[in-house]
Amino acid sequence: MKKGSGKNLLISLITVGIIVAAWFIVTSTGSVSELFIPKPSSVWKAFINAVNDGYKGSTLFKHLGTSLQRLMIAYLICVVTAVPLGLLSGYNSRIRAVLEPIIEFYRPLPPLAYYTILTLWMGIDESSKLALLYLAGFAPIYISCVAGVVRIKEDYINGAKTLGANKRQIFFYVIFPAALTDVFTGLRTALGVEYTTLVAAEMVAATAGIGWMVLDASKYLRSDVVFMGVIIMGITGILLDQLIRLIERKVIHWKGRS
Amino acid sequence: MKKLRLIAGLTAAALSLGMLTACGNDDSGSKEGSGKVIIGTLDLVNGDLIAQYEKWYETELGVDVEIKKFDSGKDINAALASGSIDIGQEGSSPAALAIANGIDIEVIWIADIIGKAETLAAKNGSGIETLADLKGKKVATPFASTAHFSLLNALKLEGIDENEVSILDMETDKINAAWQTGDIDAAYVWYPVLGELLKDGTAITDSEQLAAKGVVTADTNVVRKEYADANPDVVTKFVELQLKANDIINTDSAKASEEISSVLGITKEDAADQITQFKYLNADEEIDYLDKEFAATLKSTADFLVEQKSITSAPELSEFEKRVTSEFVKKAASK
Repeated sequence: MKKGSGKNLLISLITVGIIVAAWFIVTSTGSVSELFIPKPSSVWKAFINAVNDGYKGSTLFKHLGTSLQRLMIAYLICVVTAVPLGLLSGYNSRIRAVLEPIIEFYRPLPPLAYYTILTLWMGIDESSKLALLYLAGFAPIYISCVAGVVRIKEDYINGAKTLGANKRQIFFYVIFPAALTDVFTGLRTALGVEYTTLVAAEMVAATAGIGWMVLDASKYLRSDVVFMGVIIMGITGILLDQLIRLIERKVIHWKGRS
Repeated sequence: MKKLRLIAGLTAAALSLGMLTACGNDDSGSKEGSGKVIIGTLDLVNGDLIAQYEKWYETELGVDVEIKKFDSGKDINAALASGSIDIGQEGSSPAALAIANGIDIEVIWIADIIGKAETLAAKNGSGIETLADLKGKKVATPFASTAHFSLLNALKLEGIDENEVSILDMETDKINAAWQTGDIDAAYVWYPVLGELLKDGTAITDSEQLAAKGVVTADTNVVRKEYADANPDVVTKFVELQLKANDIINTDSAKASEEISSVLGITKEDAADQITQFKYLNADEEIDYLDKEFAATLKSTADFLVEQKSITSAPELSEFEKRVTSEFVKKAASK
């Protein structure tokens, strides 16, 4: 634990406490319509309802599970394709020259802009949703992998060469470990970007999913369900990020002690 | 670092408080006597398009006019709730939703009663000939719309469990694309997409048939109560223009279809065809509907949404009666 982190945690908790307290106070006066800010009790009731009876045919956990399944499948495909391609592109400028224009072009595009094309090509079922999430996650991983390799000190590689390492050995024993910190930065960013794309992916013809639930509830002005869904998405997002950080700490145990 | 977090925390708290006050008192809509009206439209095929073509809003309302285009009643509701528009156009389902959720509006005008203009179309070759054939098929419709309401009621009237049909939520443009790629078998939708679908599709049922069985859907104009109270003359004039427009549609359909086709960018023939698929009311019929049946129509729409578990509860009929008013039609007609 870093010095003073306990105190900072306390401050963060106080912030959250103030916001929640403000929520209680503002809604308790009854001057704000529940349409704008539903009462915490209504949101809680919506949560209990969604857990027990479900929302439109699926329980809350099924909605969340459906979304996380989409997220994880797309993410795994991202990891197994973007990491090797990124590292290779960092190592070999020819490969980089092939891939970079494609990635540089689509990376800044808003996902909704090309989602229409994806649904036309791949249909309205799962594959177009997965493709959207995949594309959203691919670029950040790829780019940080490239950056991670490019940044490695020439000395390390030369040193390994002097000791008689071949290209393959250099890649696996020098470049890969040295780039790992950047790889993980990419992995974290990618998960975040994918997660924010989730709602967009569930906009077309979904019948389950946490993003779909929020969208559907908003159509019926169900602010209680919308608030509940957004809070759950927020918490899930934090948990996913923490999970990646945990894995990072296990894998790169030398981080910060280079 | 410590300081930074504290500042971040305080900013977040201030922001959320600011947001709360902003919500309670949105000032983007028109203020009392500010001499401005913001009209939200869906470009539905009714008198609104005639008024747009003739530029009546700009020239006759006597105040500055801003016209905003929306894609769905859902967006109109959000705009009304936040005070971003003063008068809005929406179907009976979104209007019922708005009232059930306590948005402070009044229904001042029935723009049209929906007939064949909303139709359940099945793709040729999908094997769907009757409603019963929908079992196990994919049917698309924009959720929370009048078409969605009609589709679910059509299934209910036939005694088909809606869980046996795969009902998908899509906006109309997406429905068109999914139809072309063969992703869906049928769709309950309106023009212009309906016209595209019927090119290689067959009508299974429509809102006219449903209306005959008591499931009435309509398009309405609603006004923010606050605005109507402060600017009754503008609202009356607005209704008067709708009456004038309906008169043109009902007496001179050639002129009406010419003007509607021009605003929508469709052919005159299509426009002429489409206006036969709605019913447009005259002053007497408006007053009759608004005074008698319409509140009950909205109430049954809201009750159905409760049954669907889309909303938790619907207010009493008296609340809908309070929200539906013939006041402005009466004033406009007596001029």
